[in-house]
This record gives sequence, structure tokens and C-alpha cells, in this order.
Amino acid sequence: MSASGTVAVPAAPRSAARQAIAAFLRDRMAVIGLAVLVLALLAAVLAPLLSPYDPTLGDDEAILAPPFSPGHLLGTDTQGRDLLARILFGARLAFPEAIIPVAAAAVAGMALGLIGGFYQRTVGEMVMRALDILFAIPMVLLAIAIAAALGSGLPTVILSMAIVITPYIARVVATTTAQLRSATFVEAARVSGFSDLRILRREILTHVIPAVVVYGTTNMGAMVVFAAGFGFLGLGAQPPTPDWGAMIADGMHSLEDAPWVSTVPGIAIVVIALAFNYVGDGLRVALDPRLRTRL
Amino acid sequence: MTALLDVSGLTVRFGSPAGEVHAVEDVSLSIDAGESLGIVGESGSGKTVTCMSLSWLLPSPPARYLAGRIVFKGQELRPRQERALRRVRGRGIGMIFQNARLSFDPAYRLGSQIAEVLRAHLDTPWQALRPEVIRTLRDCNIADAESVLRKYPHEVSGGIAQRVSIALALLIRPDLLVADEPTTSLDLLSQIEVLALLERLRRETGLALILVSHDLSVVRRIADRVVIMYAGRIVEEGPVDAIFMSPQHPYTQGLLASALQRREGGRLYELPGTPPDLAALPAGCSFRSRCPHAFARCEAMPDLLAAGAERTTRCHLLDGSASHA
Repeated sequence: MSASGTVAVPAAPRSAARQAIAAFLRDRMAVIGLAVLVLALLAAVLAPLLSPYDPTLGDDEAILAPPFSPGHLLGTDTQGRDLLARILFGARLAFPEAIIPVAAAAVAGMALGLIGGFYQRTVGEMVMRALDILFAIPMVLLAIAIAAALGSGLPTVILSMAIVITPYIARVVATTTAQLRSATFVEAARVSGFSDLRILRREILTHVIPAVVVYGTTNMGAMVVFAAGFGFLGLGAQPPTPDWGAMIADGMHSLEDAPWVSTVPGIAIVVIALAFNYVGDGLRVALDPRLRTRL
Repeated sequence: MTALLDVSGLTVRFGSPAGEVHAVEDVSLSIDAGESLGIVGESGSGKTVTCMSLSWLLPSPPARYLAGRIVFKGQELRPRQERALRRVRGRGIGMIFQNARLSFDPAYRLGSQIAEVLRAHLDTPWQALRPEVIRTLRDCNIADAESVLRKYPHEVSGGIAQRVSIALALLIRPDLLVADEPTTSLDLLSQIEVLALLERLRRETGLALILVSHDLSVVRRIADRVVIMYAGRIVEEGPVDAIFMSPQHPYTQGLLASALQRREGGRLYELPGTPPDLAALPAGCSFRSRCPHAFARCEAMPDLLAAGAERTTRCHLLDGSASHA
């Protein structure tokens, strides 16, 4: 509202999307996080062009070179491989490991959660109890068990992480759905003779998707850490592929003499995970009109 | 002539931790085409549950439909026959709610929601219907119809939202419009306007109207016939003027007394006591504990008895054998 004595002209309603973008841009940490992610993604895509060395070939002359040595900005590892090159190529694994499981779990979790939350009789009850069983098994153990059963490798890591987080997303969706089910506007939709499918698609999904986007983005940060855990245990991508988790394990034995071998990939993991979390937080505020502070 | 809608013996209960809630017990009512029926009662008397049950809308569980036959336009509506029920909802029986703003999805502009409803019911493309939508909105006293269509539900007032929901119900042209406390959440001026609108539309389009309200003046103004509900049961039914002139059930008498004396500026009449707990209804007449005329026979539930022209009352006082009044 302008208070400058002019007649208040009702502003054309700003579109919901533009309001959300404006709210996101007001969150400084989210913008920084997004910038970090975009840069890291670009670096991953352009790794073959940016990287000074082949990430899998060591230089026998420069084993365990410390950071800022000439020619090796981040130093080298026990086999003389350039850490910067390995970090850049490692990012090509980290992003798929973060995004694909969450995306897959989002699809599966939304389907299960909508059914579980909307049909509260037999079918929904069965879905929710099945999810409860998955909740009862510790997440890490379940993931490792799946990975152990299917053998190591990147596809296994992605699949087992997707399975493990599906129940969490499904529960978020089911809770939101159950709340919406008794909302007046959903009742009004039923009174107008809408089919269940139409109500789910138009009235429920619209409100569920923002929750899933926010929860999923925050989870991507967790997935980066999780995937690193797999790599650390040797269950992820196999050597000599540069996996951040495997790189930490690689430097473990020389931690006293050459701490950077483990620290550099550790920092990369923390930075990317934090960036995902801040972006998730920013989205939460941007997508929930109640949390938006009007300026 | 058969009635447009005929409900007989509707009984709805809800499971609850405190015991089974007897929300609606043995309610029978009927409404003819073009007629207007008022349903009056305090909170928890079963008005809304009755309305929602007309097209079996309440989810079950928690609702349990124990008995009841609903015949709409000569066809019986059965619970859980979703496909058939969907055809009736909206097109046959339209409904508007107490808080119209909440009955719109906050995520979409009003225009888009009107389009969605029309798309679900009519084959004509939305763009072709746009002029008619605008005309109907104007008909419902919305001057700047074009801009209202572009607004989100939170950007309009409750009065406008209620008018939009009435317009929407009218675009579908239902045979029966159920208005559940349509004016309760509105300010006085909007109330008057919305009522005038309902009245006019009923006259002009000939739709039948069920108007639920706890406000007697609203019902008196709009309804031809009125049903008084108490603790899930119909206690009195008849033509609106007859009931307002000479209420027969002690509850109706109390209800009218509390409304009338306020207008005359006298001392506020207060119906003593509170309605019974629907999860633990006492035996006998539900109004017994608050009734100034209660006597021995009230320990048995009275039947709905014919009491004059087109009137029925659920009270032992009207049973010829006991002349207590």
C-alpha cells in the first residue's frame, strides 16, 4: 500500500510464482547455496575441460604433495593423483547420487502417500503399515543390506538410497493429504461431483508438491553424505573412479602425515550438503505463503 | 406429485472415543421442486450431518450410516455408489458452505476454479461459457466480475466469495441447492445481500432450496416450510408461518421466545440447560431435562405426531390423551 496520499489503486494480483521467486531471492543463504550448487554442477559437467590432470592416473614424482604445491592446487593423494581433478570428477558422481534417488523416491513416495493419506480405509491402511515396517528398520542398515544383496556399484547405491527414503517422503505426503482431505475446499470439490482422481490431481497434488520439493531438496544434502558413506565403506563406485567417500577412506591411513587427502573431499561433501540444505530452507519459505514475510 | 427429494429414516452415527455419537436419528423429510425448506437447530443438532448425507458425502468411517433411504427425482441414491452419486452431486444437488472462502482452493484463481467445475459437468468449452459466467456473476451482484475471476480466494471478501459460490452453483443449474449456514460468517450487510440474492434466484430459476441456519429470522424470510431439529431428531415440522405463529414443541417455543424477546427489548429469555451429550443420550425425550412441561410420559421417546394441517410435532403434550398444555 502506498501511504503517500495517492488513491490506493488495487495492484494487479502478482502471480504466485513471482511472489515465490521474490521470497526466495530475499533469503541470502539460499541464494548463496544455489550459486554454489550451480557452480559445482557446471564444474562437474565441464570437468574434462577444467581438470588439469586425469583423475585416475598418478604422478610418481608428486606423491602426497601438499595443497598449493606448484601444479597441484589441492595437493595429491597416496598415488600422486591430483586432488582437484579427483574432486571435479567426483562431483559427476555426487550430483546423480544426490538427485536421482530423491527424484525416484519422490515419485514413489507421492504415489504411496496419496493413497495412504486419501483412502483411509483398507488400502490406505495397508500402505501406511507397510511403510511403518520400513521405518522400523534402521535406514543405514537397510541401505547397506540392499547394496550388499545387489553388489556394489553406482546403480546399487542409487537404488538402495531411493528405497530407503521413499517411506519418509510418503509419510510427508500422507500427512499433508490427510489434512487436506478434510479441508472445506476438498469437501466442496466432492460436493461439486469431482472424481477422486480429479480431486487428487487438482486439489491435493498442488499442495503436496511444494512440500515434497522442499523435503526432497533438503534430503539431497543428506544423500550426498549418505553416498559418501557408501563410498567410504567401498560399496559405491569402484576404484579408480573418484568417489568423494572413497577418497576419504583413501586418505585415512596417511591422516597424520597428509591430512589434506581426506580433508579436501570432506570439505567438498560438507559444502555441497550445506548448499542443498540452505536451498531447501529457502524453498520452504518461498513456497509456503504463511512463512513469507511481507516487506 | 412425487417429491424432488425424499429422505426417510436417516440415521447417522459416528464412532468416537467417548462412545457412539448419535448425530442424526431417524430423520425424514421431503422437498418438492421449487420449494424452500428451512432446517433450524443449534450447533450439534444434526443439521449439517443431515445435509452432507443427502448425497452420502460423509466419509465412512468415522460416519456410520445405519439406516435411511434417499430418493432423488424418483431414483434411490445408495451410499458408496460413487459413480452414480457423482452425477447427482453438483448437477442434481448443489451445495454452498458457511465459509465460502474456505470452499475455494487457495492455490488457484477463482476463474480457474469456476472453469474446472464447469469442465467437470458440461461439455461446452470454457471459453464459450465465459460470457455466461460473467453474466451470472453480475447477476449475483458482483460488479467487477472480470477482475474477480483473476483473483485468488484470499483476495476477495467473504461476501464476494459467497456470491461467487452461489453463482457457481447456479451455473451448473442444480435442481436443489443446499445452503449450509450461508450467511453465518458474513457481516450484516453482506448477509442481507446474500439472502436477497438467494431469494431472487429461487424465484427466477425455480430451484428448490434447503436452507440450514440457526438464525430464525433468516429462515422465516426465505423458507416455505421449516424443520426444527434437536439432538439429532426432528422435533417439529410445518409451514413456516404456522410454526412461527403457534409453535407446539416446547423447544420451538423456547427458541422463538429467546429470539422474540430480544427484539422487544425485554429481558433476554434463556432456554435453561444445555443440549444433551450425543454420545450418551438419556432415554426418553432428549429435551426432557430442559423442558418446563416435562412429565412422567417423557421418559419414553415421543413419536412425531400429526398436529394440525401439514404439521408434525414430537411431543407427548400433543397426544390427545394427555392435555397438559
